[in-house]
Amino acid sequence: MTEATPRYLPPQWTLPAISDHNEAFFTSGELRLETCRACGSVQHPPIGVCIECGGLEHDYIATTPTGRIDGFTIVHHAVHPLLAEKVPYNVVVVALDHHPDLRVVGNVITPAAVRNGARVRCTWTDPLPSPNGGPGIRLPQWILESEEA
Amino acid sequence: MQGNAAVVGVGESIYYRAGRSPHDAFQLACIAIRNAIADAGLQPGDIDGIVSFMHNGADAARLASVVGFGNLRFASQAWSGGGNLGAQALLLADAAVCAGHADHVVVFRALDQGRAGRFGQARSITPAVDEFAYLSPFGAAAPVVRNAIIANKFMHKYGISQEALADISLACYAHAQRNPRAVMYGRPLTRDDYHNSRWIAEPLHLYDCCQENDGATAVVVTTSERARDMRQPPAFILGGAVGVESRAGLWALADNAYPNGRFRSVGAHLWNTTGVKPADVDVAQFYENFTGTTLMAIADIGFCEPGDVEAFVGDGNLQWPDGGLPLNTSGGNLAEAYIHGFQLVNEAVRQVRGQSTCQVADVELSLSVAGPGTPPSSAVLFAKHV
Repeated sequence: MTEATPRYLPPQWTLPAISDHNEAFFTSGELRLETCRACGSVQHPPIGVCIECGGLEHDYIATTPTGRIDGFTIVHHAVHPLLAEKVPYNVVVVALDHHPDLRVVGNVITPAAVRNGARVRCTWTDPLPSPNGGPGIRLPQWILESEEA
Repeated sequence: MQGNAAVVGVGESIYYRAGRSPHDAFQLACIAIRNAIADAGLQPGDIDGIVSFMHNGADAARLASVVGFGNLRFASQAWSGGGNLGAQALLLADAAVCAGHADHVVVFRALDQGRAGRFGQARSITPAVDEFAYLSPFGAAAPVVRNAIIANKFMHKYGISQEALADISLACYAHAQRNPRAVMYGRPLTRDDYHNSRWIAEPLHLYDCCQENDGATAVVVTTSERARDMRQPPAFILGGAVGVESRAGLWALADNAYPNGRFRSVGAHLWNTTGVKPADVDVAQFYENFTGTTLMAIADIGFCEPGDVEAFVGDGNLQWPDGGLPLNTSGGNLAEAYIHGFQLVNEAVRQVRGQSTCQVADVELSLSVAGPGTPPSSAVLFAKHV
């Protein structure tokens, strides 16, 4: 478990609606991926139906929270008034080290310039009040690692 | 398909900047539909089918009753997504008239972003569901952000520079300067203007992003047999394709072919079923929601390899009158108007008829490609002769 970090985007900004399929990812403070109980296939985002075998039963299993940036943008135009205080902000795609075909969208919270191929590791926000009630939401956020490796 | 049906009428409302239309979407739809029917030399009572996509502030039966259609025999809607559906909607009409479900089918799209909400904004902060739960909370809350990420990855992977994006935008703006319908008519754009414009989301500048507009656009489809005796030269529907590669219909970032424009299977099917090649196409209308995704669509559909797309769009190749593939000859979504891309169908038809304000000489084949990035993708190929 890594240290908790303040939310990168404004605290009032949109949160996920928690569902049966995404609760593990958004409340555990771990990168838990939907894993088919029947065939072991791993998919993200979770869908509830295995795209390999049609299985309906899944476990949500933590993967190593590291990866590389695989596409990003720096957003300059506030698409909602709540984001006006934050522009320019980054949005990145992270290809996971242990599942390079699976990608997670998030924000890099360290100030260094974002670039494709850069290594990142995940931290999590403190629990944020869930719009559905229930367990607090912990969003993944990314820290740039040193250039070696 | 195979030239058994044709577009015989095109019409539109005035195109407005979002929020400037004095009319709501229903009124705009009625204007465009009436104009398309009149252009075809038909009366409203001749129309017995209607097709659209997404919400138009207009139910089919209500529209048919208000415009004064005859007995309505076919009413349908293309499904899943948004601007990707334009050619799919047209192909539904093609299928309907070929199967005899209706004789004259209107296909239309009406947008009233002033009243219904701007497409470029995140319209609320309600909790995000499904795949949006993995996008919006991180600020990927509008199409431009998601498209910017995919463009960044595409440009990084294939070594494509900002100039390739500029080339799309400059072609659209150049063509709009000859089209009085274009919202950007009288607003020329230089390469310096392009580079000096503000970032929306890197690598997308202001001029890489489609406009937000109010307006409506419509066409009339009938069988080729009827079309040959009608008022306008027919634009025969030679071919069309709808779809997405196997397993590529999940979110864009889960696609193993990330980044792409979602047109690979559509292009392959289009050329296989018509027997023509991309190089045979005389003029093309490619939906530009954002220029980066348009580059991907051009490559996916078969005009060049992804790594060659900067060379393909460069050196004026997209610009009328001398370019090898004049693109978006009415100004496109960027500079004519963004009516969810359906106005590109009108322009593709006008090119076949010889009625464009940037008329390409001796057009035999005219391509219209709907929105990239969101599957199922769709495209339609018109021919002057079949």
